[in-house]
Amino acid sequence: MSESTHNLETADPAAGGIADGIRRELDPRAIPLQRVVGRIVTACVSLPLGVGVGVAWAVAGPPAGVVGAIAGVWAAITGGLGWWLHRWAALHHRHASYTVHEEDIEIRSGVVWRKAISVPRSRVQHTDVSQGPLERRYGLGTLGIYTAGTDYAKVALDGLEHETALRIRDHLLPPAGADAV
Amino acid sequence: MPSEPAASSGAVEHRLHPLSVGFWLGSQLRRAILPLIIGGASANFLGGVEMRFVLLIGLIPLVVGSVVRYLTFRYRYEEAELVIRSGLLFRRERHVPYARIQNLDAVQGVFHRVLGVVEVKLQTGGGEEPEATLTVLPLPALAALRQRVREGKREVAGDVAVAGNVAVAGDVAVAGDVAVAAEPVAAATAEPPVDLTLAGSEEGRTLLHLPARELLLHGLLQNRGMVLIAAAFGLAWELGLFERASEWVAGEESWIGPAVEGVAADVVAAGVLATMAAIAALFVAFVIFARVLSVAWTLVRLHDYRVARSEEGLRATFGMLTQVAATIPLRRVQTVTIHEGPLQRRAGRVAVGVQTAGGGQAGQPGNADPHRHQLAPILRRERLSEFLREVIPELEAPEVGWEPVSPLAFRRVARGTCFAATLAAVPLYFTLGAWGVAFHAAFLAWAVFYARRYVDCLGWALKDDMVWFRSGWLWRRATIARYTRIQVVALRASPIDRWRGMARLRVDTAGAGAASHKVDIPFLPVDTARNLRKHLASEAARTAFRW
Repeated sequence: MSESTHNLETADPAAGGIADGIRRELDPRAIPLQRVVGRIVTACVSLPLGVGVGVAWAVAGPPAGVVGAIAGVWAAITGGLGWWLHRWAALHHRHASYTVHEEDIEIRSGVVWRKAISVPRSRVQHTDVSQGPLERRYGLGTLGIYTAGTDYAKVALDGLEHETALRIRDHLLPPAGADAV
Repeated sequence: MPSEPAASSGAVEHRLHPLSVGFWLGSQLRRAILPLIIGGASANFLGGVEMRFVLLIGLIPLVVGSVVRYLTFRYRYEEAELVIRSGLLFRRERHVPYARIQNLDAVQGVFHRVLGVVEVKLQTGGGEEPEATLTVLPLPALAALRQRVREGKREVAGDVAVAGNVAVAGDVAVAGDVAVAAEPVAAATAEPPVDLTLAGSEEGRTLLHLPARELLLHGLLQNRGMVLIAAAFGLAWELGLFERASEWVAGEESWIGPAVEGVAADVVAAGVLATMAAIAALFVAFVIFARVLSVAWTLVRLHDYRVARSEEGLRATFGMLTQVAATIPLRRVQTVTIHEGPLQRRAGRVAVGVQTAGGGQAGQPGNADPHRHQLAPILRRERLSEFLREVIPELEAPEVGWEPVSPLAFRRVARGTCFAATLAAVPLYFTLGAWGVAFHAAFLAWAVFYARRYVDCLGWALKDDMVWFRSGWLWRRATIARYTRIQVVALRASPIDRWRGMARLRVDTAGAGAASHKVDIPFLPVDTARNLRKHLASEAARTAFRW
């Protein structure tokens, strides 16, 4: 889909009701959080590779040119990955949004493969809001929406301000007494 | 409410039939036998330990486990739920509300029937595994359970019923078990047609009955034979029959091996044409053999296939050796799929499958009924609408005007198939030289033709508050999902989709197995897809989903 992603409302959702049909982007703090995650991933890939290169150097001691090339490749992988994940955080944020309507919630995501998912409120089986250690530091939370579906039995929306996630959760909760069985 | 003690919270607990030990051990053995044999063989090989010894050691925990399971397994009927307790060290208590029970399947193998017992599987909305498997129950207990489930659905009308009678036949505690265990034998022998007991108390209206002629046709049309042959090969491999067979054919004293070799040599000597003819004949013989197997398997497996509509919903009963009675409450039906293969189309037949939310996964080995996905394995085309109306009462007529996908879809698919055809043709250029061109051209023609047919057969429709989707050219499948059964609507677009202004729409429902046909419409013009998503999501939101 080539839906325009500009002119989204970034107004504080706490101002009015959350179910106003306004398309909102995720909390901007999600970008630095994703960047931290990206750095961790980069380190996890880069460190073992670096150790491997170092060991190979120490043990075999190959001619200087080859060592230089290997070190260069390693630096390129580390730098490239780090840079790409750094950029990806912003790209991902730009293409992710959500809209809460009175009767359903729409979640858009995906940079290359775009997705737009509609979950009717009447189909929500249960919801949860989770917060990992990093998310807690940034005051963010992840909203999990569970349905009786198969491929979309769980729809996750991360990068929300924790408060907002709770508000959406409260909105999605089925009204009391409406047992769907 | 009657003043039965069973009704109170201290409801009588029932045990399984004592034969459970044997049946449970049998099923566990079937699962454990291969690892045991492998373990025994390797122990024999590595440490010179007798294989028998290893097998015996391996057997002990299984036997102990079966006995413990029987001794600890209890179930009781509470006001609104079935409570099952089991386990010695790790106690487990499961509460299965009657109203949530999706399917209640009863399976009777040959041994079950001789001994007058039945294996019962209950499924609720979640998960693929049966919620509870009761291996094995005496037949009257099944009737009681059915009754309970039915009553429970009717707002728990009372604790009267068959359940009460059977349960309270003995005195409270231990005597209850004895009563349940003792009575079935008498009941089972007294009632000549086991069929009736298995199928439930009231008969209901028969919607579909497959006589032997239809089953024969079904066996011919669907190719079960290859599956059977593959399974037989697997079994032979496990049992080491191959070695014996090769000994038999190619061993020192065998006369078969040389005879076959002699005939083969004669045929080859007779020329290329004769060789080809012989190979063709062998192939035809193999195909015929596979089909005959398929027919035989179908005749035994689906013997007396019957679908009846009753108060409970749809009930399918079938089987010659292993008898199955599968119950599907009508409102549990999530989607309905109509299957049509090329041979079936020639014969004017279709198959109808339903997906239920209760783990009705097609062809799962543990499932009571691998045919659940085909409620009607074979059905005359002209009877389709009548049958569908019984399964989906909201349906007015199964005829629908199909909407095509994007006009650009053909070019897109053709580009893909032509690419594949070219890839397939490349090696031919190397091996056949100039002839490769001819083959390449033929492949390309086929690729374009196939793309055209494939795209023509794609279609979707909205009608009677349902979304319809069909796909497939030779093997056609059409799936119907009511708006009330829609869970999630998702729009997806790959980079190519975006480039061509298309999108794919997935309508997610409960109970759609990995292999089942889903409403997943590709190549939609992006505007159509967007509108459809909004429309379906709001239609779904307006209605409540009932399990």
